[in-house]
Amino acid sequence: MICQRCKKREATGYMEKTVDGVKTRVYVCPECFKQAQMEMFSSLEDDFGLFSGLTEQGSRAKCSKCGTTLREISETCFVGCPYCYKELGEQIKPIVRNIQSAVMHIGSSPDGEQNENSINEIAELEEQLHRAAAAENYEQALKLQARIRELKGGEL
Amino acid sequence: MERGIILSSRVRLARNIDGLPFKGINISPISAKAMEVLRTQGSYTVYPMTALSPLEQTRLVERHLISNELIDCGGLAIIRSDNKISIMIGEEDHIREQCILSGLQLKEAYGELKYIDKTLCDAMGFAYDQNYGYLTSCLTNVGTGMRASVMMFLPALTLTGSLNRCISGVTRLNMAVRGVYGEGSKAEGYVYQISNQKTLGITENDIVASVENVVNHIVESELRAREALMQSDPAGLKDRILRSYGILTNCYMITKSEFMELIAFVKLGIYYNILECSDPSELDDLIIDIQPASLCLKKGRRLDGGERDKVRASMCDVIKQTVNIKED
Ligand SMILES: [Zn+2]
Ligand SMILES: [Zn+2]
Repeated sequence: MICQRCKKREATGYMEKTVDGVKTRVYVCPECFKQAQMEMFSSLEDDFGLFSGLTEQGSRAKCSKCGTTLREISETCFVGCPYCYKELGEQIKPIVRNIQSAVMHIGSSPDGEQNENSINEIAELEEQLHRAAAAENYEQALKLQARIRELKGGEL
Repeated sequence: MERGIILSSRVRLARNIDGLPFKGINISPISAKAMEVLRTQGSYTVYPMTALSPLEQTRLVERHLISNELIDCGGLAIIRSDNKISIMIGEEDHIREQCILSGLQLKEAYGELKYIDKTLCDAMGFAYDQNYGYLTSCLTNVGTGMRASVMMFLPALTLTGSLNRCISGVTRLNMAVRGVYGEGSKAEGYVYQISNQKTLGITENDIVASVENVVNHIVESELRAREALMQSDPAGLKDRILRSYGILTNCYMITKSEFMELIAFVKLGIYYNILECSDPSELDDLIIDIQPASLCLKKGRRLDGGERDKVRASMCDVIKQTVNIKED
């Protein structure tokens, strides 16, 4: 499909944006994605510094093994080395969520069929959710629900 | 009949060696190690891009065995003698394992790849994270590192103008559609590739199932569109099919894009029983053989455009031999 921004190149991914409370997807090519990420960063910096924590850290945070910066990752979607995922793991979460609508692997692992951990974690959280709902602890239930949704991939 | 619509299935897994940067690594120890493992499993050949002529490189791309990016990166490919398994080393990721099978066989392709992946992983140690799964150079592949794609022949959806609606439906399901032949988004020969976009927060089996599901829907839409196409102008369609057959079996020179357009109508003619074909797989092979690099290598030398068009026309003899006009 054609990129919805430049209407020229092949779209290879999508971005999500919220307009008037409605989430929509825009399918874009890598170049437009990069552009949009940069615009997002600068507009955030210009505006009320909403994510100033992220951008300030973002401009400085980098992988101590390969030197790739968080900013580079957010602009290109390319990561420098496996260690980046560990050291910048929390900070790249929003970028990953934007691309994948998920932040947790639930597929196979080198030592087994499924990634037992996340499957078990979901099961455990669902159990907790059940208990929280039964105890009418809605605040806790909402938190658990959000976490389960995140693990399962955001949209299920 | 679906066989003519679904051409092939491919599953690809992106993998990286733990502890190494994604870019700028020395690929020879990786390929040596991979070859050590693969040698015990079948008959594999190593194709270093730096040792191949541009023609040989392009021929591998035309056969979907390697990507253009592998050539740009100066990587290498380890290809099984049956051309079903190809391991690319030094592309965007250290290792890209892929399996291509004919027809709709994503499950089978993944099954075969899973075993190879396991043995390579045991020998080399792939970068894996509890939360992010298999770690890849680009965030668009992280998690399963899996791309499941199906090549489809969709002339009626294209000609009736329903393809765009179909594509927008498909992209809403996290799938991508792109033309396989031709430049940019113009799909030559009405051949498209449907693949998953999401690689994280979904299991491998669910990726396979979701792509299969979408592909089956597209097959149904294509079949409906073929009916509509025939109903809207039966005489015109029959004329176009027979003219296409006439040109292909009588031409002296033919360009690739004209060939791709006409062969699509010959295949449609076989579907509608206007033409009959003793062996449809011959036509699919021909489509690959007439691609520029494959054609030159068949002749054993580089040919200019005009020469290629002549050779291509002579190769259309296969159509004369296997396809006939059906008497009614
Ligand atoms: Zn674009
Ligand atoms: Zn790094």
